Amino acid sequence: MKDVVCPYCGCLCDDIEVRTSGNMITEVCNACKVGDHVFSRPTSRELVPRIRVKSGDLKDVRADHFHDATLDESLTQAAMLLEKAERPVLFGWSSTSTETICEGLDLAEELGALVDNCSSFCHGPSIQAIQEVGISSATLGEVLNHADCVVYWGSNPAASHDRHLSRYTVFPQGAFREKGRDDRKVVVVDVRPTGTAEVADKFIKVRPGSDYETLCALRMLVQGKDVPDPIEGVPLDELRWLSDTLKSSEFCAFFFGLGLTTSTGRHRNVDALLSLIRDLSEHTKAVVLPMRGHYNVTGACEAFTWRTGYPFAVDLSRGHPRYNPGETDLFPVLSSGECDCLLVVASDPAAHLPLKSLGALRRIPVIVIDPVWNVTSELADVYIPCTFTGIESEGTAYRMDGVPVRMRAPLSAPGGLLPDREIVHRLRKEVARLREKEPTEYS
Amino acid sequence: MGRSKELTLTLVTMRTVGQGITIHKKLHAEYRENVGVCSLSPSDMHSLSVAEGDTVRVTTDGGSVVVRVLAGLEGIKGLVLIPLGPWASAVSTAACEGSGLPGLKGLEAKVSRAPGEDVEDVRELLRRAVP
Repeated sequence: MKDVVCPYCGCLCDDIEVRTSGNMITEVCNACKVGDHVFSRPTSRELVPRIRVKSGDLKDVRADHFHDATLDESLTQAAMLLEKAERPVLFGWSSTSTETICEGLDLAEELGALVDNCSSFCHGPSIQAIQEVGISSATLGEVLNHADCVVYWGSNPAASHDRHLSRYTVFPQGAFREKGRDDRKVVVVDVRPTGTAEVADKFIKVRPGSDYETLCALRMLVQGKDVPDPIEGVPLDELRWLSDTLKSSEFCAFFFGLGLTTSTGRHRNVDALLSLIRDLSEHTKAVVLPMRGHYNVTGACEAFTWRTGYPFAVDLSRGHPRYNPGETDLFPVLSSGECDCLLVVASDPAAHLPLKSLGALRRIPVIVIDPVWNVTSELADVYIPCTFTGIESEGTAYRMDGVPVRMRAPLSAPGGLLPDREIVHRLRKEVARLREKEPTEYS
Repeated sequence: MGRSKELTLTLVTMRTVGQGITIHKKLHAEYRENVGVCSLSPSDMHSLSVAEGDTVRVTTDGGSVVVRVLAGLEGIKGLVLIPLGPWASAVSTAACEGSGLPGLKGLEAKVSRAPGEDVEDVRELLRRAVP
Protein backbone atom coordinates (compact mmCIF):
# COMPACT_ATOMS: atom_id res chain seq x y z
CA MET A 1 0.00 0.00 0.00
CA LYS A 2 1.33 3.45 -0.97
CA ASP A 3 0.81 6.87 0.63
CA VAL A 4 0.49 5.44 4.12
CA VAL A 5 0.83 8.08 6.87
CA CYS A 6 3.27 7.46 9.71
CA PRO A 7 1.51 7.79 13.10
CA TYR A 8 4.51 8.81 15.21
CA CYS A 9 5.57 12.47 15.20
CA GLY A 10 4.14 15.78 14.05
CA CYS A 11 5.78 15.41 10.61
CA LEU A 12 3.00 12.96 9.63
CA CYS A 13 5.07 11.71 6.67
CA ASP A 14 2.50 10.65 4.06
CA ASP A 15 4.82 8.92 1.58
CA ILE A 16 5.29 5.65 3.43
CA GLU A 17 4.96 2.41 1.51
CA VAL A 18 4.24 -0.83 3.31
CA ARG A 19 4.08 -4.39 2.08
CA THR A 20 1.82 -6.79 3.92
CA SER A 21 1.41 -10.52 4.12
CA GLY A 22 -1.65 -11.89 5.84
CA ASN A 23 -2.34 -9.24 8.46
CA MET A 24 1.33 -8.46 9.07
CA ILE A 25 3.58 -5.69 7.76
CA THR A 26 6.61 -7.32 6.17
CA GLU A 27 8.40 -4.26 4.75
CA VAL A 28 8.32 -0.51 5.36
CA CYS A 29 9.80 1.94 2.86
CA ASN A 30 10.61 5.66 3.27
CA ALA A 31 10.03 5.74 7.05
CA CYS A 32 12.69 6.93 9.49
CA LYS A 33 14.20 4.51 12.01
CA VAL A 34 11.52 5.26 14.59
CA GLY A 35 8.70 5.11 12.04
CA ASP A 36 9.98 1.72 10.95
CA HIS A 37 9.59 0.45 14.54
CA VAL A 38 6.15 2.06 14.94
CA PHE A 39 4.84 0.14 11.93
CA SER A 40 6.40 -3.06 13.28
CA ARG A 41 4.17 -2.70 16.39
CA PRO A 42 4.81 -4.78 19.51
CA THR A 43 4.86 -8.49 18.90
CA SER A 44 2.87 -9.19 22.08
CA ARG A 45 -0.43 -7.32 21.93
CA GLU A 46 -3.13 -6.96 24.53
CA LEU A 47 -6.37 -8.15 22.92
CA VAL A 48 -8.61 -8.50 25.97
CA PRO A 49 -9.77 -5.79 28.41
CA ARG A 50 -8.62 -6.12 32.01
CA ILE A 51 -10.16 -5.03 35.30
CA ARG A 52 -8.14 -4.64 38.50
CA VAL A 53 -8.97 -6.83 41.47
CA LYS A 54 -9.40 -4.49 44.45
CA SER A 55 -6.54 -5.07 46.88
CA GLY A 56 -6.32 -2.32 49.47
CA ASP A 57 -6.27 1.47 49.36
CA LEU A 58 -2.92 1.78 47.57
CA LYS A 59 -2.71 0.01 44.23
CA ASP A 60 0.27 -2.28 43.64
CA VAL A 61 1.88 -2.71 40.23
CA ARG A 62 1.54 -6.42 39.56
CA ALA A 63 -0.05 -8.03 36.53
CA ASP A 64 -1.77 -10.68 38.66
CA HIS A 65 -3.92 -7.97 40.20
CA PHE A 66 -6.06 -7.95 37.03
CA HIS A 67 -8.62 -10.29 35.58
CA ASP A 68 -9.73 -10.53 31.95
CA ALA A 69 -13.10 -9.03 31.10
CA THR A 70 -15.42 -8.57 28.15
CA LEU A 71 -15.66 -5.23 26.42
CA ASP A 72 -19.16 -4.69 27.84
CA GLU A 73 -18.01 -5.47 31.40
CA SER A 74 -15.05 -3.12 31.12
CA LEU A 75 -17.16 -0.33 29.63
CA THR A 76 -19.74 -0.67 32.41
CA GLN A 77 -17.02 -0.61 35.06
CA ALA A 78 -15.33 2.42 33.45
CA ALA A 79 -18.65 4.26 33.12
CA MET A 80 -19.50 3.59 36.79
CA LEU A 81 -16.13 4.95 37.94
CA LEU A 82 -16.46 8.08 35.80
CA GLU A 83 -20.12 8.64 36.62
CA LYS A 84 -19.64 8.64 40.37
CA ALA A 85 -16.53 10.85 40.30
CA GLU A 86 -16.89 14.47 41.40
CA ARG A 87 -13.82 15.73 39.53
CA PRO A 88 -13.19 13.41 36.56
CA VAL A 89 -10.29 14.27 34.25
CA LEU A 90 -10.03 13.03 30.67
CA PHE A 91 -6.44 13.20 29.41
CA GLY A 92 -4.39 12.27 26.33
CA TRP A 93 -5.97 12.59 22.86
CA SER A 94 -2.68 13.24 21.07
CA SER A 95 -1.76 9.90 19.47
CA THR A 96 -5.16 9.16 17.98
CA SER A 97 -7.54 10.49 15.35
CA THR A 98 -9.35 13.80 15.49
CA GLU A 99 -12.63 11.84 15.28
CA THR A 100 -11.72 10.11 18.57
CA ILE A 101 -10.87 13.46 20.14
CA CYS A 102 -14.33 14.78 19.21
CA GLU A 103 -15.91 11.72 20.88
CA GLY A 104 -13.78 12.47 23.95
CA LEU A 105 -14.98 16.06 24.06
CA ASP A 106 -18.58 14.83 23.89
CA LEU A 107 -17.88 12.53 26.84
CA ALA A 108 -16.25 15.40 28.76
CA GLU A 109 -19.34 17.54 28.21
CA GLU A 110 -21.61 14.68 29.30
CA LEU A 111 -19.61 14.28 32.52
CA GLY A 112 -18.80 17.93 33.20
CA ALA A 113 -15.16 16.83 33.26
CA LEU A 114 -11.82 18.56 32.97
CA VAL A 115 -10.34 17.59 29.59
CA ASP A 116 -6.69 18.10 28.72
CA ASN A 117 -4.25 16.94 26.05
CA CYS A 118 -0.50 16.38 25.86
CA SER A 119 0.11 20.08 25.09
CA SER A 120 0.24 20.63 28.84
CA PHE A 121 3.42 18.47 28.85
CA CYS A 122 5.11 20.02 25.81
CA HIS A 123 3.97 23.12 23.93
CA GLY A 124 1.37 24.44 26.37
CA PRO A 125 3.68 27.40 27.13
CA SER A 126 3.97 27.99 23.35
CA ILE A 127 0.21 28.25 23.09
CA GLN A 128 0.12 30.66 26.04
CA ALA A 129 2.72 32.83 24.28
CA ILE A 130 0.92 32.65 20.93
CA GLN A 131 -2.27 33.82 22.64
CA GLU A 132 -0.40 36.81 24.09
CA VAL A 133 1.84 37.80 21.17
CA GLY A 134 0.31 36.27 18.03
CA ILE A 135 2.24 34.19 15.52
CA SER A 136 3.49 34.63 11.98
CA SER A 137 3.44 31.09 10.69
CA ALA A 138 3.45 29.04 7.48
CA THR A 139 2.89 25.54 6.22
CA LEU A 140 5.86 23.23 5.80
CA GLY A 141 5.20 23.40 2.05
CA GLU A 142 5.76 27.16 2.10
CA VAL A 143 8.98 26.68 4.06
CA LEU A 144 10.14 24.02 1.58
CA ASN A 145 9.55 26.25 -1.43
CA HIS A 146 10.63 29.62 -0.06
CA ALA A 147 12.92 29.47 2.98
CA ASP A 148 16.59 30.33 2.45
CA CYS A 149 17.40 30.47 6.16
CA VAL A 150 16.25 27.82 8.64
CA VAL A 151 16.85 28.08 12.39
CA TYR A 152 16.23 25.32 14.94
CA TRP A 153 16.16 26.76 18.46
CA GLY A 154 16.01 24.33 21.40
CA SER A 155 14.97 21.53 19.09
CA ASN A 156 16.80 18.45 17.88
CA PRO A 157 14.80 16.92 15.03
CA ALA A 158 17.64 14.46 14.36
CA ALA A 159 16.30 12.63 17.43
CA SER A 160 12.65 13.68 17.56
CA HIS A 161 11.47 14.40 13.97
CA ASP A 162 14.00 12.53 11.88
CA ARG A 163 12.70 13.44 8.39
CA HIS A 164 11.91 17.09 9.13
CA LEU A 165 15.10 18.30 7.46
CA SER A 166 15.11 15.83 4.59
CA ARG A 167 11.45 16.18 3.70
CA TYR A 168 10.49 19.76 4.46
CA THR A 169 13.14 22.28 5.44
CA VAL A 170 16.83 21.77 4.58
CA PHE A 171 17.72 19.18 1.95
CA PRO A 172 14.90 18.95 -0.63
CA GLN A 173 14.59 21.17 -3.68
CA GLY A 174 11.90 23.82 -3.45
CA ALA A 175 10.15 25.85 -6.15
CA PHE A 176 12.42 28.82 -5.39
CA ARG A 177 15.27 26.81 -3.82
CA GLU A 178 16.28 24.64 -6.74
CA LYS A 179 19.69 23.74 -5.29
CA GLY A 180 18.13 22.35 -2.13
CA ARG A 181 20.66 22.38 0.71
CA ASP A 182 23.03 24.72 -1.14
CA ASP A 183 20.32 27.38 -1.37
CA ARG A 184 19.75 27.47 2.38
CA LYS A 185 21.60 28.60 5.50
CA VAL A 186 20.95 26.41 8.52
CA VAL A 187 21.51 27.54 12.10
CA VAL A 188 21.09 25.55 15.32
CA VAL A 189 20.87 27.27 18.71
CA ASP A 190 21.01 24.87 21.64
CA VAL A 191 22.71 24.13 24.96
CA ARG A 192 24.67 21.29 23.35
CA PRO A 193 25.95 20.33 19.88
CA THR A 194 23.09 18.03 18.87
CA GLY A 195 22.83 15.69 15.91
CA THR A 196 20.98 18.44 14.07
CA ALA A 197 23.89 20.84 14.70
CA GLU A 198 26.17 18.49 12.74
CA VAL A 199 24.42 19.41 9.49
CA ALA A 200 24.09 23.12 10.29
CA ASP A 201 26.20 25.92 8.84
CA LYS A 202 26.41 27.50 12.28
CA PHE A 203 25.91 26.21 15.82
CA ILE A 204 25.42 28.76 18.58
CA LYS A 205 25.73 27.40 22.10
CA VAL A 206 23.63 29.01 24.82
CA ARG A 207 23.76 28.38 28.54
CA PRO A 208 20.87 26.32 29.98
CA GLY A 209 18.15 28.73 31.09
CA SER A 210 19.48 31.74 29.16
CA ASP A 211 17.33 31.55 26.02
CA TYR A 212 15.20 34.52 27.08
CA GLU A 213 18.21 36.82 27.52
CA THR A 214 19.78 35.60 24.28
CA LEU A 215 16.56 36.13 22.32
CA CYS A 216 16.10 39.61 23.80
CA ALA A 217 19.68 40.53 22.84
CA LEU A 218 19.06 39.25 19.32
CA ARG A 219 15.90 41.36 19.12
CA MET A 220 17.93 44.44 20.10
CA LEU A 221 20.52 43.71 17.40
CA VAL A 222 17.78 43.26 14.80
CA GLN A 223 16.40 46.64 15.92
CA GLY A 224 19.86 48.19 15.47
CA LYS A 225 20.55 48.72 19.18
CA ASP A 226 23.78 48.14 21.08
CA VAL A 227 24.17 45.17 23.40
CA PRO A 228 27.06 44.19 25.67
CA ASP A 229 29.57 41.48 24.80
CA PRO A 230 29.11 38.60 25.58
CA ILE A 231 25.44 37.85 26.26
CA GLU A 232 25.11 34.97 28.74
CA GLY A 233 28.30 33.45 27.37
CA VAL A 234 27.39 33.92 23.70
CA PRO A 235 29.99 36.10 21.93
CA LEU A 236 28.43 39.23 20.46
CA ASP A 237 29.97 38.45 17.06
CA GLU A 238 27.92 35.26 16.82
CA LEU A 239 24.66 37.02 17.60
CA ARG A 240 25.53 39.89 15.25
CA TRP A 241 26.25 37.35 12.49
CA LEU A 242 22.88 35.71 13.15
CA SER A 243 21.06 39.04 13.13
CA ASP A 244 22.70 40.04 9.81
CA THR A 245 22.04 36.62 8.28
CA LEU A 246 18.37 36.71 9.25
CA LYS A 247 17.82 40.29 8.06
CA SER A 248 19.51 39.64 4.72
CA SER A 249 17.58 36.43 4.04
CA GLU A 250 14.56 36.38 1.73
CA PHE A 251 12.48 34.05 3.91
CA CYS A 252 13.61 32.80 7.30
CA ALA A 253 11.85 30.01 9.15
CA PHE A 254 12.32 29.28 12.87
CA PHE A 255 11.43 25.96 14.50
CA PHE A 256 11.52 25.62 18.27
CA GLY A 257 11.13 22.76 20.71
CA LEU A 258 11.05 21.86 24.38
CA GLY A 259 14.40 23.62 24.83
CA LEU A 260 12.33 26.78 25.10
CA THR A 261 9.08 25.53 26.64
CA THR A 262 10.42 23.37 29.47
CA SER A 263 13.37 25.48 30.60
CA THR A 264 13.38 28.50 32.87
CA GLY A 265 11.06 31.17 31.50
CA ARG A 266 8.62 28.74 29.83
CA HIS A 267 6.10 30.82 27.84
CA ARG A 268 8.23 33.96 28.24
CA ASN A 269 10.98 32.29 26.18
CA VAL A 270 8.49 31.65 23.39
CA ASP A 271 7.09 35.16 23.84
CA ALA A 272 10.59 36.53 23.11
CA LEU A 273 10.96 34.33 20.02
CA LEU A 274 7.55 35.30 18.62
CA SER A 275 8.45 38.95 19.24
CA LEU A 276 11.74 38.44 17.37
CA ILE A 277 9.76 37.13 14.38
CA ARG A 278 7.61 40.27 14.54
CA ASP A 279 10.75 42.43 14.59
CA LEU A 280 12.29 40.51 11.68
CA SER A 281 9.13 41.06 9.65
CA GLU A 282 10.20 44.70 9.35
CA HIS A 283 13.15 43.46 7.26
CA THR A 284 12.19 40.18 5.61
CA LYS A 285 9.61 37.40 5.54
CA ALA A 286 9.88 35.57 8.84
CA VAL A 287 7.82 32.66 10.17
CA VAL A 288 7.97 30.35 13.19
CA LEU A 289 6.53 26.93 13.99
CA PRO A 290 6.55 24.86 17.18
CA MET A 291 7.94 21.34 16.68
CA ARG A 292 4.84 19.48 17.85
CA GLY A 293 5.71 15.98 19.02
CA HIS A 294 2.81 13.51 19.17
CA TYR A 295 1.47 12.95 15.69
CA ASN A 296 -1.96 14.49 16.33
CA VAL A 297 -1.41 16.81 19.29
CA THR A 298 -2.01 19.63 16.80
CA GLY A 299 -5.34 18.01 15.93
CA ALA A 300 -6.19 17.80 19.62
CA CYS A 301 -5.66 21.56 19.95
CA GLU A 302 -7.73 22.18 16.80
CA ALA A 303 -10.65 20.02 17.96
CA PHE A 304 -10.54 21.36 21.53
CA THR A 305 -10.69 24.88 20.11
CA TRP A 306 -13.60 24.19 17.74
CA ARG A 307 -15.60 22.63 20.50
CA THR A 308 -14.73 24.67 23.60
CA GLY A 309 -12.87 27.77 22.43
CA TYR A 310 -9.66 26.68 24.14
CA PRO A 311 -6.84 24.41 22.88
CA PHE A 312 -6.02 22.41 26.04
CA ALA A 313 -6.57 22.39 29.84
CA VAL A 314 -10.34 22.92 29.55
CA ASP A 315 -12.51 22.62 32.64
CA LEU A 316 -16.18 21.90 31.86
CA SER A 317 -17.24 21.27 35.46
CA ARG A 318 -19.19 24.53 35.72
CA GLY A 319 -21.24 23.78 32.64
CA HIS A 320 -19.20 26.17 30.50
CA PRO A 321 -15.55 26.01 29.39
CA ARG A 322 -12.88 27.47 31.67
CA TYR A 323 -9.21 27.63 30.71
CA ASN A 324 -6.40 28.56 33.05
CA PRO A 325 -3.08 26.80 32.36
CA GLY A 326 -1.27 26.16 35.61
CA GLU A 327 -4.60 25.41 37.30
CA THR A 328 -6.68 23.39 34.85
CA ASP A 329 -4.05 21.07 33.35
CA LEU A 330 -3.53 17.46 34.42
CA PHE A 331 -0.47 17.94 36.60
CA PRO A 332 -1.90 20.66 38.90
CA VAL A 333 -5.23 18.85 39.41
CA LEU A 334 -3.43 15.61 40.20
CA SER A 335 -0.92 17.26 42.52
CA SER A 336 -3.60 19.15 44.42
CA GLY A 337 -5.62 15.97 44.99
CA GLU A 338 -8.65 17.40 43.13
CA CYS A 339 -8.84 14.69 40.47
CA ASP A 340 -10.79 11.68 41.75
CA CYS A 341 -10.96 9.66 38.51
CA LEU A 342 -8.68 9.74 35.46
CA LEU A 343 -9.46 8.49 31.96
CA VAL A 344 -6.40 8.30 29.71
CA VAL A 345 -6.85 7.77 25.97
CA ALA A 346 -3.86 7.36 23.62
CA SER A 347 -1.26 8.68 26.01
CA ASP A 348 1.04 7.63 28.84
CA PRO A 349 1.19 10.41 31.44
CA ALA A 350 2.64 8.12 34.13
CA ALA A 351 5.85 7.92 32.07
CA HIS A 352 6.24 11.70 32.12
CA LEU A 353 4.71 13.06 35.32
CA PRO A 354 7.10 13.77 38.20
CA LEU A 355 7.35 10.53 40.14
CA LYS A 356 6.19 12.22 43.34
CA SER A 357 2.84 13.07 41.76
CA LEU A 358 2.18 9.50 40.61
CA GLY A 359 1.18 8.53 44.13
CA ALA A 360 -2.18 10.14 43.34
CA LEU A 361 -2.74 7.60 40.56
CA ARG A 362 -2.27 4.73 43.02
CA ARG A 363 -5.17 6.06 45.08
CA ILE A 364 -7.79 7.13 42.50
CA PRO A 365 -9.55 5.09 39.79
CA VAL A 366 -7.67 5.14 36.48
CA ILE A 367 -9.07 3.98 33.13
CA VAL A 368 -6.73 3.47 30.16
CA ILE A 369 -7.74 3.05 26.50
CA ASP A 370 -4.60 2.39 24.44
CA PRO A 371 -3.29 -0.04 21.83
CA VAL A 372 -0.42 -1.09 24.13
CA TRP A 373 0.03 -1.83 27.81
CA ASN A 374 2.05 1.19 28.96
CA VAL A 375 3.30 2.68 32.24
CA THR A 376 -0.09 4.25 33.07
CA SER A 377 -1.76 0.86 32.46
CA GLU A 378 0.24 -0.48 35.41
CA LEU A 379 -1.79 1.87 37.62
CA ALA A 380 -5.10 1.30 35.82
CA ASP A 381 -8.30 -0.09 37.29
CA VAL A 382 -9.74 -0.72 33.84
CA TYR A 383 -7.65 -1.26 30.71
CA ILE A 384 -9.31 -1.47 27.29
CA PRO A 385 -7.10 -2.29 24.28
CA CYS A 386 -7.88 -0.74 20.88
CA THR A 387 -6.48 -0.63 17.35
CA PHE A 388 -3.45 1.41 16.28
CA THR A 389 -4.91 4.43 14.48
CA GLY A 390 -3.14 4.91 11.16
CA ILE A 391 -2.15 1.23 10.97
CA GLU A 392 -5.23 -0.81 11.88
CA SER A 393 -7.94 1.86 11.61
CA GLU A 394 -8.36 5.05 9.60
CA GLY A 395 -8.68 8.57 10.88
CA THR A 396 -7.72 12.20 10.42
CA ALA A 397 -4.67 13.85 11.98
CA TYR A 398 -3.22 17.36 11.80
CA ARG A 399 0.42 17.86 10.87
CA MET A 400 2.49 20.21 13.05
CA ASP A 401 1.73 23.07 10.63
CA GLY A 402 -2.04 22.56 10.92
CA VAL A 403 -2.54 20.68 7.64
CA PRO A 404 -5.08 17.83 8.04
CA VAL A 405 -3.99 14.46 6.66
CA ARG A 406 -6.19 11.40 6.22
CA MET A 407 -4.52 8.31 7.66
CA ARG A 408 -4.98 4.98 5.91
CA ALA A 409 -5.12 1.55 7.53
CA PRO A 410 -2.85 -0.99 5.83
CA LEU A 411 -3.92 -3.72 8.27
CA SER A 412 -7.28 -4.87 9.60
CA ALA A 413 -8.06 -4.89 13.31
CA PRO A 414 -6.53 -7.91 15.09
CA GLY A 415 -8.59 -10.08 17.41
CA GLY A 416 -11.78 -8.07 16.97
CA LEU A 417 -10.27 -4.92 18.51
CA LEU A 418 -12.25 -1.72 18.01
CA PRO A 419 -10.87 1.74 17.23
CA ASP A 420 -10.66 3.99 20.30
CA ARG A 421 -13.22 6.25 18.59
CA GLU A 422 -15.83 3.50 18.85
CA ILE A 423 -14.83 2.60 22.43
CA VAL A 424 -15.11 6.20 23.65
CA HIS A 425 -18.47 6.53 21.86
CA ARG A 426 -19.79 3.40 23.62
CA LEU A 427 -18.40 4.64 26.92
CA ARG A 428 -20.41 7.86 26.57
CA LYS A 429 -23.56 5.87 25.81
CA GLU A 430 -22.91 3.73 28.89
CA VAL A 431 -22.49 6.82 31.08
CA ALA A 432 -25.79 8.16 29.74
CA ARG A 433 -27.46 4.79 30.38
CA LEU A 434 -26.29 4.80 34.00
CA ARG A 435 -27.77 8.26 34.33
CA GLU A 436 -30.99 6.91 32.80
CA LYS A 437 -31.02 9.46 30.03
CA GLU A 438 -30.51 9.49 26.28
CA PRO A 439 -26.95 10.47 25.28
CA THR A 440 -26.85 14.07 24.12
CA GLU A 441 -26.14 14.56 20.43
CA TYR A 442 -23.52 17.31 20.25
CA SER A 443 -22.78 17.33 16.52
CA MET B 1 42.44 16.61 36.80
CA GLY B 2 41.06 15.96 40.27
CA ARG B 3 38.66 13.13 41.08
CA SER B 4 35.39 13.86 42.94
CA LYS B 5 32.91 11.69 44.73
CA GLU B 6 30.14 13.99 43.62
CA LEU B 7 29.68 16.66 40.94
CA THR B 8 27.07 19.40 40.78
CA LEU B 9 25.86 19.49 37.17
CA THR B 10 22.89 20.89 35.23
CA LEU B 11 20.21 18.36 34.32
CA VAL B 12 18.80 18.65 30.80
CA THR B 13 16.21 16.18 29.51
CA MET B 14 16.27 15.28 25.82
CA ARG B 15 14.80 13.15 23.09
CA THR B 16 16.73 10.22 21.59
CA VAL B 17 16.14 7.79 18.76
CA GLY B 18 16.50 4.90 21.22
CA GLN B 19 13.62 6.33 23.23
CA GLY B 20 11.49 6.54 20.09
CA ILE B 21 12.07 3.00 18.87
CA THR B 22 11.16 1.51 22.25
CA ILE B 23 8.10 3.71 22.86
CA HIS B 24 5.70 0.76 22.65
CA LYS B 25 7.83 -1.47 24.90
CA LYS B 26 7.91 0.54 28.10
CA LEU B 27 7.69 -2.43 30.44
CA HIS B 28 10.49 -4.25 28.60
CA ALA B 29 14.20 -4.32 29.46
CA GLU B 30 14.93 -2.76 26.05
CA TYR B 31 13.18 0.46 27.12
CA ARG B 32 15.16 0.67 30.35
CA GLU B 33 18.40 0.10 28.42
CA ASN B 34 17.57 3.02 26.11
CA VAL B 35 15.88 5.46 28.50
CA GLY B 36 17.24 4.69 31.99
CA VAL B 37 20.53 6.25 30.90
CA CYS B 38 22.42 9.49 31.01
CA SER B 39 25.12 11.20 29.02
CA LEU B 40 28.11 12.89 30.64
CA SER B 41 31.10 14.62 29.12
CA PRO B 42 34.39 12.66 29.06
CA SER B 43 35.93 15.11 31.58
CA ASP B 44 33.01 14.78 34.03
CA MET B 45 33.17 11.00 33.66
CA HIS B 46 36.87 11.16 34.45
CA SER B 47 36.25 13.36 37.48
CA LEU B 48 33.69 10.90 38.80
CA SER B 49 35.85 7.88 37.89
CA VAL B 50 33.04 6.32 35.89
CA ALA B 51 33.16 4.59 32.52
CA GLU B 52 30.51 3.78 29.95
CA GLY B 53 28.12 1.21 31.38
CA ASP B 54 28.69 2.23 35.02
CA THR B 55 25.77 3.48 37.06
CA VAL B 56 25.51 6.93 38.61
CA ARG B 57 23.00 8.41 41.05
CA VAL B 58 21.38 11.69 39.99
CA THR B 59 19.73 13.73 42.74
CA THR B 60 17.72 16.94 42.42
CA ASP B 61 15.15 18.76 44.57
CA GLY B 62 12.57 16.55 42.82
CA GLY B 63 14.08 13.18 43.81
CA SER B 64 16.87 10.71 43.15
CA VAL B 65 17.41 7.99 40.57
CA VAL B 66 20.11 5.62 39.35
CA VAL B 67 20.87 5.63 35.61
CA ARG B 68 23.53 4.03 33.44
CA VAL B 69 26.20 6.10 31.71
CA LEU B 70 25.82 5.77 27.98
CA ALA B 71 28.39 6.85 25.44
CA GLY B 72 27.45 7.97 21.96
CA LEU B 73 25.07 10.71 23.06
CA GLU B 74 26.12 14.33 22.91
CA GLY B 75 27.79 14.69 26.31
CA ILE B 76 28.95 18.17 27.22
CA LYS B 77 30.90 19.37 30.26
CA GLY B 78 28.71 20.55 33.10
CA LEU B 79 25.54 18.86 31.82
CA VAL B 80 23.90 15.55 32.67
CA LEU B 81 21.54 14.61 29.85
CA ILE B 82 18.70 12.12 30.47
CA PRO B 83 16.09 11.03 27.89
CA LEU B 84 12.49 12.00 28.70
CA GLY B 85 10.76 9.11 30.46
CA PRO B 86 10.19 7.55 33.89
CA TRP B 87 13.81 7.95 35.02
CA ALA B 88 13.93 11.65 34.10
CA SER B 89 10.51 12.05 35.75
CA ALA B 90 11.94 10.62 38.98
CA VAL B 91 14.11 13.75 39.29
CA SER B 92 11.89 16.38 37.64
CA THR B 93 10.40 19.02 39.90
CA ALA B 94 6.89 20.26 40.51
CA ALA B 95 7.87 23.88 39.78
CA CYS B 96 5.63 24.88 36.87
CA GLU B 97 6.41 28.63 36.66
CA GLY B 98 2.79 29.53 35.94
CA SER B 99 2.27 26.75 33.40
CA GLY B 100 1.10 23.20 34.02
CA LEU B 101 4.45 21.88 32.90
CA PRO B 102 6.85 20.38 35.47
CA GLY B 103 10.51 21.45 35.48
CA LEU B 104 12.47 19.30 33.03
CA LYS B 105 15.50 21.34 32.00
CA GLY B 106 18.16 23.38 33.73
CA LEU B 107 17.79 21.77 37.17
CA GLU B 108 20.74 21.58 39.53
CA ALA B 109 21.69 17.93 39.95
CA LYS B 110 24.19 16.15 42.18
CA VAL B 111 25.77 13.26 40.31
CA SER B 112 27.78 10.55 42.06
CA ARG B 113 29.03 7.05 41.36
CA ALA B 114 26.61 4.29 42.25
CA PRO B 115 28.73 1.13 42.39
CA GLY B 116 26.63 -1.96 43.05
CA GLU B 117 23.36 -0.14 42.39
CA ASP B 118 21.31 -1.14 39.35
CA VAL B 119 18.87 0.92 37.30
CA GLU B 120 15.37 0.36 38.68
CA ASP B 121 12.76 -0.99 36.29
CA VAL B 122 9.52 0.88 35.68
CA ARG B 123 7.54 -1.13 38.24
CA GLU B 124 10.13 -0.50 40.95
CA LEU B 125 9.95 3.22 40.19
CA LEU B 126 6.15 3.22 40.39
CA ARG B 127 6.24 1.46 43.77
CA ARG B 128 8.25 4.41 45.08
CA ALA B 129 5.36 6.76 44.26
CA VAL B 130 3.17 7.23 47.30
CA PRO B 131 0.41 9.79 47.83
